[in-house]
Amino acid sequence: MQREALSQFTDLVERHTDQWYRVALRIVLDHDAAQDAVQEACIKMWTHWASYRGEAQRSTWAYRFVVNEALNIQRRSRSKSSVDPSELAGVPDSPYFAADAALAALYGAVAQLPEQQRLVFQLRYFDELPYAEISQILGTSTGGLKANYHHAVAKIKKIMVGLNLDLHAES
Amino acid sequence: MNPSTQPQSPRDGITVPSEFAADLAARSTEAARRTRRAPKTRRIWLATAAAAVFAGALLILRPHAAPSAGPTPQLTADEAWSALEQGDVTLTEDELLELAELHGITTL
Repeated sequence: MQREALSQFTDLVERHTDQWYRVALRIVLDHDAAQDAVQEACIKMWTHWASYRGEAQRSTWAYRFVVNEALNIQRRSRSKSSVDPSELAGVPDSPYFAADAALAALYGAVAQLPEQQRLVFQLRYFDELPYAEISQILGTSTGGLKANYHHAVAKIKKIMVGLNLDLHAES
Repeated sequence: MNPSTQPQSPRDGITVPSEFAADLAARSTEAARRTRRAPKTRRIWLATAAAAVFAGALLILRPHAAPSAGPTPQLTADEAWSALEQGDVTLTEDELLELAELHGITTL
């Protein structure tokens, strides 16, 4: 039983680590911290493996751990840092991140959003997740998510217009 | 996330090499597996403690079974536990109650 669970867990991790790293990196904006987030999330996933009740897909259930762990690391990091968050560029620091000026500006704009809007925008725009799945990950109603996404896009457009750049996000 | 919702090409500008992803997956899996060793260790400790109590009780409750001369047999906790699990040794209800009373065991 334990062996079967471990096999399923390993399979899940191997299939989704790429995605989890990207999600974590976009939240914590740091290569090492993103790896820590994935690793800590995996530890918690495995610790709670048996408590999964099938209310969401296993991958969605796992995604929630990654997002929460990345947010925890981000909050801890901000509480230790003396730098004003609004002064941070918001662009991921990773050897695997490559962006043109427009994408870098988009990250900068996303960094200025409130946390919930930032999360919803990232999961919807970057990961192209359906609202139903984002709702399961963040534990928020789809109506609230749509409102958050709408506000996020409006703010980002305003910022991008000010920079004379375009964003191809649906509103 | 189900495969149908996986973006075909990352819109976020982050391209993760497969070698890095595989390495991170391996490290994460190993870290998780290491964490889960704690309960197993606790189970072994409990089994060992129970076996030690049991082995000691054997000598108290069945002194006639103990050799009267020669070196004292060294029964390890694992051996005692295996013997109990395999049914090689049985205790009567009275002996169990006496054992429980001796060690202050009131609940299971």
